Amino acid sequence: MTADFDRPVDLYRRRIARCRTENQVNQVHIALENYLVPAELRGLGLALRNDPPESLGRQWVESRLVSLPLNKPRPVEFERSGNLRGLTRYSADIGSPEQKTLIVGFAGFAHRLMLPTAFVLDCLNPAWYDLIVLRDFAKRLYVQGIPGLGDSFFDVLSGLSTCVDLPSYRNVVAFGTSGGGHAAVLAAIALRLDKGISIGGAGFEQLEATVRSLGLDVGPFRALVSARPDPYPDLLLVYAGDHARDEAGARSIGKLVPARLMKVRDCGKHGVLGHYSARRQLPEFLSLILGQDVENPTSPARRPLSR
Amino acid sequence: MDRAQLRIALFDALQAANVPEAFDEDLRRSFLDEGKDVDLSQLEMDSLARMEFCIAVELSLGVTLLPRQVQELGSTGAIERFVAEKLA
Repeated sequence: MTADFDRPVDLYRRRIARCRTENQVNQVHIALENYLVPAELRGLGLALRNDPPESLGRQWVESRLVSLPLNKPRPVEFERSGNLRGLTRYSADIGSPEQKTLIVGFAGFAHRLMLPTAFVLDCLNPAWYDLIVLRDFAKRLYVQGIPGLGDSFFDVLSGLSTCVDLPSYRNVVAFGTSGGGHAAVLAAIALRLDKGISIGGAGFEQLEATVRSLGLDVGPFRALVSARPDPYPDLLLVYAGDHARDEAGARSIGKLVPARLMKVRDCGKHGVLGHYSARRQLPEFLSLILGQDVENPTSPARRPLSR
Repeated sequence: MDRAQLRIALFDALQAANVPEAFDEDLRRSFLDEGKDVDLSQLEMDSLARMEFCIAVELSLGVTLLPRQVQELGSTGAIERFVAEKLA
């Protein structure tokens, strides 16, 4: 472990030392999971490996490391940057945007893409992918925007275009889970991205209800839903096949925008990504829905996904 | 704190934990107004939601309830009684 990591570990230990209950420790770990990259998780694992086996920190980090989809160190690792609480950028110091795919993630109410962020990053080859995670701390389906980026959903889209050079990327995919699913679809349309993916996203009725409850006008949202810019993004709505609410949400969006629906068979849980993670199939599933390999998007070979 | 206030706090904790059913008005009414005992198997609570629920309960009520206890207690009524005892 390098000296670079001593300080973060020290900060972690000091923060944990201030916790008086298991719930307070869990609160720290949940927050860390939303932000840490795989290399940081591995670094923490090394740092805590000699802690008592019953220590909450060691149990937590070891359980996360065991669950990482690949857990293989890369020649160059993802690093985290960004000074806005609601926007975090993950990129590696390798290659250039023009050869990379940018995934713009719209997190749900748990402020993650259904899984600890490191699990998603672990699947992506940093030489070919960058990831941005947007977080809606107001839990208003992004209607009230993200502080520092914009005070409304539409201002967030403008803000995003200002602080990220989207056209410089090989391609850009909006990827939203749960409370961020609809936002990914709308962002893909508004920003003319290559693809928009919703996983377990809320239906547009729920979005409109939220807009109205805040005393705002649904008009701009309806206009965006009706828009048919050319080129139009490839929209994919993924839902757990045995989850009635999520199926209803996907079908509700699918009635209003041209989109493919993908039903995940034998899955009754909202957390579709967790479903595939538990089956050690997360890289394959992400490759499938992205329409390109997470290891090398230029490779014509597709990883088989046994459903 | 009376039972009605306790139920409100527990329901708010379910919402803080992003349990989808906690945003359902019918369930809210039956839980708060009718004191309905909801079996946790009827709620979509994964391990993260259980942790977030316990964190919210501890922050709002000062009572330490652990995720494994939530599973063992198994219903909102049992959780309510557990927390009420701790507050007494």
